[in-house]
Amino acid sequence: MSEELFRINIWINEDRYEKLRDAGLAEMSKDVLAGLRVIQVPTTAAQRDAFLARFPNAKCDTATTKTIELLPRAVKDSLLDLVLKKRSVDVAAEYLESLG
Amino acid sequence: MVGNSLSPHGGELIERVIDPARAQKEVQGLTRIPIRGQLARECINIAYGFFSPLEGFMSKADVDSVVKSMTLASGYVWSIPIVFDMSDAEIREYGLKVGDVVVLTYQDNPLATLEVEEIFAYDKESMAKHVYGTTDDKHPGVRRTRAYKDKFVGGSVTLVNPPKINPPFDQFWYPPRALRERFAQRGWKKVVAHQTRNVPHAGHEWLMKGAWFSANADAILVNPVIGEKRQGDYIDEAIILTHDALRKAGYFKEDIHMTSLLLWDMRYAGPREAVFHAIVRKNLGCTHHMFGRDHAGVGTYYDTYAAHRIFNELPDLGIYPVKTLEWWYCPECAGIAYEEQCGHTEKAQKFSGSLIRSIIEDGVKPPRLIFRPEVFDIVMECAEKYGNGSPFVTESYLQRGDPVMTIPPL
Repeated sequence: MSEELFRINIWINEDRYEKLRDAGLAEMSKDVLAGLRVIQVPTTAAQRDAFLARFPNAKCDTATTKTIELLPRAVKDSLLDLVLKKRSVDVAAEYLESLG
Repeated sequence: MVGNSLSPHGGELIERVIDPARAQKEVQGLTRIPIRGQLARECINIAYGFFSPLEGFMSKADVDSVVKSMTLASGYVWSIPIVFDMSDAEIREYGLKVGDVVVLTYQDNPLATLEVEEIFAYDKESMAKHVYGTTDDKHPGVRRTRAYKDKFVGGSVTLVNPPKINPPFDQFWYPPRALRERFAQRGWKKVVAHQTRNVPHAGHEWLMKGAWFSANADAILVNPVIGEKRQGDYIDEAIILTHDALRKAGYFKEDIHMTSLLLWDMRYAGPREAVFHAIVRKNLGCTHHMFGRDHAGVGTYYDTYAAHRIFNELPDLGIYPVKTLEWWYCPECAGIAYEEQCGHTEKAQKFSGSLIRSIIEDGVKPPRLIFRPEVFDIVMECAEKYGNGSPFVTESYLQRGDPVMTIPPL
């Protein structure tokens, strides 16, 4: 059985869309809510716990969406920078390592 | 057998508010005991009858019965212990003993008298286990229970000094008698209550509209819980003003919608808190109460619909639970759709209050089908006016003190 994954939603505003488009990665985002686009960074349960421990105001919406919400905007910006650099959404491990 | 279906709960609206002309004399010479915000709010709720049939903080017999059987010792259904805690040192310092009458102060001013009828210890672990179904310290209700001091003081409470509810909350302050009179003036006989601690998104709006249909109600009472806040919550001003904005912007007609506030510190007790919400809203004069998914829950402690099922195990409470499933956005239906009706389950785009908060936190304006633009504008206005630029609770918002009410000098 594959491990259950939880996602971090990076909601796409105009600034973020421009960055994605300039990198040729606009198609990486997807419509998840009435036309609102998002980049979804997957995390394992252990990574989810590490994010929640590091950012106590964040929460995992286990009831409805299985997503980690309410991370600070600066964290989302850093995750997006990593996505652009690696051209992949699998950046959770590298981001957590960068926190030391 | 007691009549649990009587409205107010117990058949009589409890009102223990002293004539202001007598108040000064009443508290003269009494020992003054300062209390924290939670206890002040509970004194007010007892005195105005939000908690009918309670006339004071619970005795040991009531606590034990509530904890173990979800009823008061009298037999009336009650699900959450309402207790006044003190440390052994405080009891010694004030020389407190059964038979004393003391004055409870908040913000350094007299609020209420407490007639000391019993001083007792209770097993807090057992209380937590029964009420919350867990002793996990991560559960905020368990933490609140463990934080109670050594002893509980049971006894009647009488308000000697009514709180001044500050703007913008003052326009929403209706104690039960005043609210019941307001319902009667408007000719509302069937009113369905909406419990909330959130700014409304379209899922909430349709939950309310669906419940109104389902109950064939005259009106909806939106009754936000205003109490202790945690960092990251919406600020109270945003919660209550955005709900009112839904009506002002025409998403509900003026004659079917009203907003009033409830001073209460959420316990996150899931199904037990649902029962508590139903009883309090019955005391306000409501005949129906809506319960969506994960009502009053936190984390994964309760099954999604535990708060629906608990009512099957209880006698008629005199307030009908309107149980609803999930509302989602469906790209095929091109609108908000209901789980039991929409056949595009695999394409459903689910959303929650946390997800919407996350969108706003990211500096993104949610789509108007999900979050009304008028609501978004009020959220942003409240951020500027009350939240130091943030619509969410921050350290600086918390440090501002209690902006909701002031206890004036007597």
